[in-house]
Amino acid sequence: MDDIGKICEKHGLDKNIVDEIISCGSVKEEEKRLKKISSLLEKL
Amino acid sequence: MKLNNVCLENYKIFYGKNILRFDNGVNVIEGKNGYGKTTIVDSIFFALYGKKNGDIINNFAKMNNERFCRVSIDFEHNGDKYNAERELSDNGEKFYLKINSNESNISVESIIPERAACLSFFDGESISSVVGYMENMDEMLGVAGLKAVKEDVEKLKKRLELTLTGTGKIKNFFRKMGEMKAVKKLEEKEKKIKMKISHEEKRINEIGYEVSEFKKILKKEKELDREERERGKLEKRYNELVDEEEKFKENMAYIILKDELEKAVENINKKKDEMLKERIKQGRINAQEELLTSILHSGRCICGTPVSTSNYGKHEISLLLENLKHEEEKIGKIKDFYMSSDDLVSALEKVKVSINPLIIKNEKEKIEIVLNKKCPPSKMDIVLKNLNEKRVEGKARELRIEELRSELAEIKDMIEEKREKIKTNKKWKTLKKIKNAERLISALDEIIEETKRLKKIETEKKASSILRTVTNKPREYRGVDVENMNIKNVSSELSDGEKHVLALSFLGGIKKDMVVIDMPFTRLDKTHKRKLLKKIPSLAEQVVLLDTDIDEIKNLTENVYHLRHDQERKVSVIT
Repeated sequence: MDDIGKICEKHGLDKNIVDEIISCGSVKEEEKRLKKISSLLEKL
Repeated sequence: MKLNNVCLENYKIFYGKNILRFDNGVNVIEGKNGYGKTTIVDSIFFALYGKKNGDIINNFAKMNNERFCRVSIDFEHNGDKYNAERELSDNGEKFYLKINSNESNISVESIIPERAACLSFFDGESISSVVGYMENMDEMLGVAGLKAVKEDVEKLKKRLELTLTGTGKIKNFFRKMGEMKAVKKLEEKEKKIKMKISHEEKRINEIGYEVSEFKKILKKEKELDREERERGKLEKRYNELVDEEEKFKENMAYIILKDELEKAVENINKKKDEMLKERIKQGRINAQEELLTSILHSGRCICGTPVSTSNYGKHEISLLLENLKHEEEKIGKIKDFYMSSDDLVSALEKVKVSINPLIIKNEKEKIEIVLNKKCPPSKMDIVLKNLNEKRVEGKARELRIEELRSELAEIKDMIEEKREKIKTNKKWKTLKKIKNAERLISALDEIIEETKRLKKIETEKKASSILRTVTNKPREYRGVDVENMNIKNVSSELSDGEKHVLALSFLGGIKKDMVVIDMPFTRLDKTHKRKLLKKIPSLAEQVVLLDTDIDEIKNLTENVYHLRHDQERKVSVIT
């Protein structure tokens, strides 16, 4: 497991979903980005 | 970010359309002071962010009644292709953006913030100013994106919190969290019980199949058993037939005797007739003889009361006996002849009516065929035992399933109850998201620090390698300290030239997609310049150099543009 994986585990977070949230940064429109992050927060 | 094309039209000193095409690797723009090198860099920021200093429409164009300027840029960023075009005229400013050929109304700022774009554009005169302090270090170390995501999450968290009222809800959230954990545990238990039931059901199905197989075997065994019983009956019947056959054989003598006696009687009668005829002829016949004749003709004299001499004449009797004796020699069974007449008659009748030797023979043969056939012994008992065992096991498992189902129903009720409790708070999802956002923000802080740490190590390694190669003091300058934007373990103040070398080494360590440097070698001595020239292609994937003197750098690439100036019209053109 890499360092980021360890950090996610420490906080009880699913690394795959954290990665997905981080990749939301590439969504250009803010509202779309926040909506996507919001739905991922529910799954986290 | 990487530049593909820049098209300037009537922008500042440039009149008409002037196009620059950039490739990967090194691109060079040569132009004397005042010919428009820096204007090209300005035009890029005008197109992307609308930045403008003073009057930007070309004067010659204005004189020709072309009262507008336009800059169009094609560039790539994070795998997408963009076209940004900005126009300024008397009618105002217009901006167009296309992303992968599709028109978009979002701003370039939201794609590449201006502060991030600035980190790709350096002025040789001021590049050394980054030493000691690097503005936007996070952008440089590639964690700005992570920080932006963290800011988004924080923004989202605040929004979510605003949808809630009062702190009591937050406290309630933690209580719900506890209940959620309990639900999770119950769900796990439910899952395990379902698995157990599934296992039991699977086993019952298997037992059902085994029972059906045993039933098939049992059917066969029953047939064998019936066959065995049939064989027993046949054996009994066979024995009866054997007895009957024996009896028949005994009685056979009577049949033969009867036939022979009838023949004998016939012969005697015949002879008697002859004797009578002779005697009548001779006149010697009497009443006794007539009686004897009648008796002889009846045939009963043989099997009836023994012939008495009292009623018949000696001669006739002896004649008869003589004849009988003669017959006796033929049949050899004369002793039966002396039986009582009743026995003999009944025996004869019996034989005649009920015993048919052919029927016996046929039946015996049929039975023998059946009895001679191989017939395996029946295993019905064993099969029945196995079958019963399976049935008992099946029943036990069905009971177990009933127990498990009852347990499952209880757990389901409990889960439903707990879920109902949780559902009573309509803002449960919001609370959960807030809690998750809190955890994510903490995690992102650590992830940002970790990413920074790793990127610093990597950058320091690469930058130090470049610095050691290009510096005039390789023994003194061991490496780059990215944190403080300085050279490690150096107490003395660096000269502007040394700072310049350090800044370029740092750029090489970061290795961005693109770097544009206006006057890259200002303040550098020949040695530094010579050594740095070799490192220029490794500074970024795309390097754009703008300089007044390109004698040395033009050898790095074939993509060289020259800026020419028309003194009369006071305009520059790109060639």
